Amino acid sequence: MSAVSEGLLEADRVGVMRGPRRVLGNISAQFHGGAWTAIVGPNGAGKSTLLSTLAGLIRPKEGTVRLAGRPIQDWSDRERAQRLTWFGQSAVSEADIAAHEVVRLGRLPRYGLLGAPTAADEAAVRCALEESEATPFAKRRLGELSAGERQRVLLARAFSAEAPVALYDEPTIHLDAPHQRRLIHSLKSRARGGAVVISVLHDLTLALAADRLMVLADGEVRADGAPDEAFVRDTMTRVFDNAFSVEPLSSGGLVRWAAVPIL
Amino acid sequence: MRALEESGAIAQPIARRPRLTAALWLGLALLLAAVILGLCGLAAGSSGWSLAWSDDWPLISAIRAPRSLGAFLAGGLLGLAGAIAQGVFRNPLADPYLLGSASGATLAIVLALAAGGLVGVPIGITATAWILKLGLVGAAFLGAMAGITLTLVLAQGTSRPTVLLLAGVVVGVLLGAVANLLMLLAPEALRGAQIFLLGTTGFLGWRSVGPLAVMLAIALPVAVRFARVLDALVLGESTAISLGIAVPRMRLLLVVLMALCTGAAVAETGLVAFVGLVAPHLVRRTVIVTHGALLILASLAGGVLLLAADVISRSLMPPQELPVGLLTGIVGGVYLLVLLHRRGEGRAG
Repeated sequence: MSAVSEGLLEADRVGVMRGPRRVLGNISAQFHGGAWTAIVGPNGAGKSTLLSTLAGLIRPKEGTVRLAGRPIQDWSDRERAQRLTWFGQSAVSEADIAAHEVVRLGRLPRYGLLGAPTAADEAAVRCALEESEATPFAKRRLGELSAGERQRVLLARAFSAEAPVALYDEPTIHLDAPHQRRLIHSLKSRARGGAVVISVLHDLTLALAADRLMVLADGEVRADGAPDEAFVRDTMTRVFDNAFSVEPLSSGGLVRWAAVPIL
Repeated sequence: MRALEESGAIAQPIARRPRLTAALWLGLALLLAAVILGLCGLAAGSSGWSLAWSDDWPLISAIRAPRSLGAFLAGGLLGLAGAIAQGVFRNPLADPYLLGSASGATLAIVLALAAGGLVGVPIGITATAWILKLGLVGAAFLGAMAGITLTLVLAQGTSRPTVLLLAGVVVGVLLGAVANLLMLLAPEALRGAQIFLLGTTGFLGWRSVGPLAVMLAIALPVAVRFARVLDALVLGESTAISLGIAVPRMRLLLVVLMALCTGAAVAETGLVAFVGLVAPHLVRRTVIVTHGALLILASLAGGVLLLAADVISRSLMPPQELPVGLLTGIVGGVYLLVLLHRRGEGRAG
């Protein structure tokens, strides 16, 4: 496998049905390492479905998802999990398991169901806990933590995997502003490190900080490009019924964008 | 990160020592409790407690020792099955009898007793002739397995846990209704079946110890080997799959293990209430552990609970003895009420 193909994720004319209803239609996109993509769209647009399909958790009715050039279902479960990590909004049960054990599960694809964590796995767990500032409560039960603390532990689980492809569904939920900022820095630095980073975000100002913005509505990609492209920003405001305007912010010679609600 | 790895400064496992120590302490405490209760079990006779070991030796070796050991093993199987059930169904109130094993075993016992009555064979739960007793134990085990198999067939496997639980309820109600109908038609089966329904350690002998020990010796290591599946399921099924776990296959394996443990325990002791539900709870309230340690400790706790219930049921009003299931039902029920009350207070606060 070449270094170029490693980490590449691709959706090729992907369509997903839920019963008789089409939730995703004819989606094609390529994701290369080195860029952070934010997927935005109104409720029911198919964002989480797209992310789950890219993760291989939903089998598309049409089209193919390829991971490193190979159809995702052709990878063994463990091989896929070593290359791709998925952070979803699935319900965590009332857990008495310690937070750091949850983070260690992120390394499970590496040490395997029947193997033992190595020193490198333990080091990755420590780094991930530090990265999401979850070390102070690492020994507490997951069920005893506040929603924000729990989210940081779950994020640390995804970080610890150190997978070349990382998909995050609503990673900022329950996080306060400093931790949202820290998370965005983490996503960016992972992308700069060569990983494919894709996140579904509801906070549009945070999404506008991404390298690439994918605007979804009614299960289709309406715009796909850099937030600096006017077409992408305009499409974004349109699919949200012009409920906000995108305003430029200049700081240190850089232009950034902010979504300002129109009240 | 790489620099840290190379330096070796962060190679030591994190926070593992204190947790293991707490779990080890609990394990040792449970083992000690088991030994003490086991000794109490040897001393508890029909005319009160006796420490005249040499005089009582025939009774101890033939009756009390296998009974105590059998109670510990059956409780261990129930505790293990309960911990698996709560992990697989991601529900702290899941019970090993969930999937139709209890009603299946009950129906089989009633059928066997009623059939024995019809053909005039003096079959009953008190039958001493080993072949008849083996017949009832075998019937209960097969009934439990049949109940669970029916549940699995109705739910079309284990891929949809909610459907599986609902199928378990349906099978429980249906088989329970058939068993009740049979008991109405053949009242002579009622008395024997009642002892079974209440749960009893009174018929545990050396013949019971063997199958219980073999089942525990097989099921516990296998369950512990795959305990990480239960850890991952805490994060939800999708996350577990994304971690590379073949969840449907693993869930089927764990449900089969749970069924075998429950079936073996039910066959020997009848429907002992609450042990499988409470044992994992007690462990989780006491220490913070992963499922690997939880399965072992819940099994130990289940053994200690049933052993304690057995000793108490024999000692409360000798020479009479209470059915052990009554005692576990009362104590387990009160424990759950307290737990619910505390939880309610916690939420209100």
